Amino acid sequence: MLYFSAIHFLIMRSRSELLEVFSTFLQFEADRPQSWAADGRLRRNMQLALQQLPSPTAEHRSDRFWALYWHKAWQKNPTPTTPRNLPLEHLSAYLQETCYWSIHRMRSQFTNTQYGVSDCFQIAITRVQKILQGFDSSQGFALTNYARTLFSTTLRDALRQQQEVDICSTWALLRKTSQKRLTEALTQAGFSPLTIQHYCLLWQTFKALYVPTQATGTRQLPRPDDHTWQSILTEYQTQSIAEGLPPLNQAEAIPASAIATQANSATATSFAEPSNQRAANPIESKTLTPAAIEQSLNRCAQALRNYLTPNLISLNSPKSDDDRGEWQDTLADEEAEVSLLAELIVQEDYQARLEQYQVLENVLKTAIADCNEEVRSILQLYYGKSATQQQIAQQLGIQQYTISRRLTKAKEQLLKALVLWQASTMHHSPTPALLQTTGQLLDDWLYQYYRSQSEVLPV
Amino acid sequence: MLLSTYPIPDGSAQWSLTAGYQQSPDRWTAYLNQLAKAAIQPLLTEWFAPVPVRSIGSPAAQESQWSCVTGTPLRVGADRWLLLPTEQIDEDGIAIPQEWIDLPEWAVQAIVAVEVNPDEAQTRILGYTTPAQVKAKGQYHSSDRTYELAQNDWITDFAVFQLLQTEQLFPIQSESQTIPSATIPSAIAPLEIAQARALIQRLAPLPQPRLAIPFQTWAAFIQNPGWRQKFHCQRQTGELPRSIAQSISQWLTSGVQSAQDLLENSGLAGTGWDLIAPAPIAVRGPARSTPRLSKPLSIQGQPFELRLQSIAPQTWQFELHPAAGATIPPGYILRLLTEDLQPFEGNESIASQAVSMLYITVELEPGDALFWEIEPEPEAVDRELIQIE
Repeated sequence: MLYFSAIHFLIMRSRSELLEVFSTFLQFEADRPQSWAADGRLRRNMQLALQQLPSPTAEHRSDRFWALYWHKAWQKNPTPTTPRNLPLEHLSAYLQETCYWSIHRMRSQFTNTQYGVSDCFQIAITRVQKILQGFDSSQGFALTNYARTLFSTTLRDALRQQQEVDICSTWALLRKTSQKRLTEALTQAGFSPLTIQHYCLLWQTFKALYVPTQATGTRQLPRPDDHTWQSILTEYQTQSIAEGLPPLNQAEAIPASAIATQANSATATSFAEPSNQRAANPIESKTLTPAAIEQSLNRCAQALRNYLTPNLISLNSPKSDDDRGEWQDTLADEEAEVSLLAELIVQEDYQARLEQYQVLENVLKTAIADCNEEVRSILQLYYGKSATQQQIAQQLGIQQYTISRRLTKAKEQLLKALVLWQASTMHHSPTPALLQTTGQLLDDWLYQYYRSQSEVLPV
Repeated sequence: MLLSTYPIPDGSAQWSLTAGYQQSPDRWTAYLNQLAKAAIQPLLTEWFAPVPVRSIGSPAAQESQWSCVTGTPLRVGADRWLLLPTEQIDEDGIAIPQEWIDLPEWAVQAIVAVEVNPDEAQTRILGYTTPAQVKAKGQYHSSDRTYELAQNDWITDFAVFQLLQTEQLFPIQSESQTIPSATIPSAIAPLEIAQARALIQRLAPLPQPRLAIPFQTWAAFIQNPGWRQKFHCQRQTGELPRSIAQSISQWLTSGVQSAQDLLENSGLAGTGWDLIAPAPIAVRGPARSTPRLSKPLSIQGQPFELRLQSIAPQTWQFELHPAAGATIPPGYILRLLTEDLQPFEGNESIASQAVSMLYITVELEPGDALFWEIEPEPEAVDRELIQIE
């Protein structure tokens, strides 16, 4: 599928040549998509793969065929010992446009985000590995469908969270995190497992004992007063004994990365410690003070903020081209691999997948046609115009809850039709995880379907 | 697709509804639960119509539960759905308190995680799951006694969740699963009255009561609605509910308090009980000079009245009266149970044939409290402990 728009055509050319699709990466300039940067190695690898096909037809020069091929290649060896994971990189290249349009659409729904287009792209493109892990071609959907849902939800979550985090005080932010997120952020910041255990327990205690005392304005939750700090300290000590946590000793150093980021923090207390004090960790049972635990929670908040900042190192650059030697060494192995896979693809899956996709389209189109007119107009507004439930409610003069119900019922019908059909083509009975994915894919399919119907130019 | 938001109607009213909580953290818990309920109960009502979606228990019973642990159970047809409010803005993992997974009497069939944003007066449904899924995929944290279920294991689409439930595609809880910290048997061993009373005093002032004692003991404690109510009262007001005997005695001597105040002090406000002044003319039975408690009930669609009155010092009588001119059908039973839900001699009055009333007389010691029950079960009543003496 090619995406064009009057505005973007001038800036970003959509790719059409097969070799280009699987070997180039989007480059941004002044936060706009500007050009495609080529990776020579990937291009050569793609050429090589093409040459291995016994009898190439038009189908074999299609994007979808090669997406399937590289996905299978990746599945065969997801964590190779070679420095480069070529199937992964081919698919990262392939998914550049999908990623761009996903984030473009999602970003437009967040009007006051400080994340630029390039930032959003970076946030989303990190998900390629997860996409490949989760993609199951036998479900009947294309890789691009699946990728779109993951790119979109990743960015949606990041933008939502960033919006909230930006306007939250440290103490409000600590209340608004999950333990898993906190653990991830602390791990990324380089804290030891024992420190993380202690910090999590401290955080739990903080949350349990210190709450807002008014109905709204919770984002400005102020610093706890000294009396509250003392209560938190006492309860934290009680709980860490009850949990049998070994105390943190003085040898437990704060990781250097944590100190570096703390220096950038505008909200944390001063961490400009002289180097001979760096080894001291505030949570050391014998000398534990309210000030120490306050400092620790400030560290937690800082770790959370850093976690949400996009990785400024571009993951999206093509690799340098000076590994020619290595490439030649592995050439023989790759040839054998490629030829085997080509056979497999040609014999088994590709035709079946293409046909499957057609049938899936028909199943869903039939199911939509079976819905009544009101439901169809709700679907059209929700998926075609990206209207919110509230907006649709206003437009149609119905309660939001009723809109919600109609949408849910419609989705149930479509899902049932889809699941019934899938059951006949897949080899295992559906699991909750699989149906969760199906639900997301259905959402994406509906979006594409209604958009292609209603608009020539993307929003 | 953006997750749909559901507005909270009249958030400030919800805040004032929680004014009865003296402990700020408990008040905050109650507040978040009220907000989630206000936004999501109407939504579920719409989705499940015509099957009704109702609160479980009286407001007082729900409030006492929030002093113990977060979560709002709703009745959806024959099932119980748990609304679980959370303030977190990420969905990496959502924590479910152990009570909702391992306490058999509190079992629910579905859990809905609701992100509550009081500042924006908005809620979002983060996902749906079942306790079996939580046991199969969740990670247990002993430090706060929660099961944490990762983002990928929640179902975000209601349509998908419904399909999974109707097709029975969720994992079935296997008996061999054990919790990392302790094996929870299917029946929780009951507590003795003296133990429970001591726990009320010990736990009420603690910052995190639910973590202070082993889960088994805590479960047995909170599963008794009478003890939970007393704990809630002690924790939020600093004292236990006044007994009926004390309240009435004070009313008769000082005469200053209103009937409403009396009911509140005894923890019976808003539970349907009324305090009736002595009737000048005996309508049924001998003339009574002491005030009586009266509660209207509906049993199998017919109106009834439950009465409680002192007929002699430390001697009390429970009476079940039908509407004027009607009789109590044969097979009806009025039953009393001790504070620890045990029967005792003479605790039942059975209608072997149609009768004009059922009654049970009991002699009590100071400190005694009783549960009452009726068979067939009256509509919309909780199990209720009355602190009589």
